[in-house]
Amino acid sequence: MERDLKTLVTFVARAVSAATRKAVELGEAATEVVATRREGYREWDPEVIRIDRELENTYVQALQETGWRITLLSEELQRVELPGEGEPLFAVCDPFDGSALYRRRIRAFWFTALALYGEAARVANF
Amino acid sequence: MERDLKTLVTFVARAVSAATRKAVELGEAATEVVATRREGYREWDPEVIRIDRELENTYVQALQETGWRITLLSEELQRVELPGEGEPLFAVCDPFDGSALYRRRIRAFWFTALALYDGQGNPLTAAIGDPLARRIEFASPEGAFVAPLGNLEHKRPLQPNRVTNLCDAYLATYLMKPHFLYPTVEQFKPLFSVVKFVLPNGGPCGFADVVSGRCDIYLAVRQPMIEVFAGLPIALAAGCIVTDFAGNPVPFDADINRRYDLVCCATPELHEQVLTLLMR
Repeated sequence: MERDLKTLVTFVARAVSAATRKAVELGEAATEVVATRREGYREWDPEVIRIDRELENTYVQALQETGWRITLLSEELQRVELPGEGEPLFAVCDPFDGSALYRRRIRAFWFTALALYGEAARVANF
Repeated sequence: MERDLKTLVTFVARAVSAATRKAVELGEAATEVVATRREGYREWDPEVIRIDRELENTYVQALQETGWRITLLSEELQRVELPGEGEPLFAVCDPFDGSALYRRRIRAFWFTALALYDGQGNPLTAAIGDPLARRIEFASPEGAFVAPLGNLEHKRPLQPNRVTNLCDAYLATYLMKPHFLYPTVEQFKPLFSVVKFVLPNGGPCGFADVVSGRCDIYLAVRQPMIEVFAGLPIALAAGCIVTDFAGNPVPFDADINRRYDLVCCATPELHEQVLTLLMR
């Protein structure tokens, strides 16, 4: 995949759209605890629920499919090196923000976010 | 119109459904200031916007069409006597809760609520509409229910959580305006420090939050009469424990300028622990 700034912007917008659609599709149902975070990391919020993981997997798949060389920094996986081509990029991902509200079906402040950073400090962020 | 309890429940659920549909239809567009409140009344929130007025008008029209004799206590009109037949009723209405968020198009915590009380102030029924989730939660003699907007026949019962320990509890209390934020967090730090989560919203939906299991405790601090009594019957219908901070029941009082300190809990165990902390 080409990698000019316009492509990056389009990629991030599409990836976040796909994750948002996934959240809509999951509705209020994906509240099961699927993991606990390692000690010392977000100790005020130790549990990972299914919506966190499912949305993170959506981003990982989208990033892998680009074929770009990316360091993914994400809330659940923490740091993952995705092999690929071109200058290295950082992807910073908050798969699902609002888990504490979501677990009680409080329909407020549910978000998903992805940003890209390159060596020249250019940003594509939605 | 006949006036047995079933009729009153259906009337309130339908009136709140109509107001909720109106809110959906208005979308984010009804933010113009249409009036300012009189000095001394809700001085922390002096402006009335169009959605407040349009939803209040929806309720006034529905109440007038019943032909019942009703004293309407509502946030904008304050007190209106609607002439009609039968024993007098009180209607308590919060036409649109969440105006400060609505004005900035923050799509969270928008609600509309109506409750009915008999002439002695005994709660009869209440309903709370959520235009964002498109649902109605309401009180009936059989308990509290939720239904999708426009489909009251598809109601299902609401059940508070059986949470018994403060460390597992979600607590709702209004914190969004600085007028409430700083005094509340300073005064109630011992309580807020031990619960699992604090949801910074209150109003009539604070009661529905406990009834539905979204939260386990609603702490109403200096809450205006209308915001309390527009939602209280739904908590009582679901068997929640509602008292003042000294553990006393909450009698109806038609004084719209009165403010209340109340606690609504999902279980007696939580209620006892909250009161113990409040009385320290």
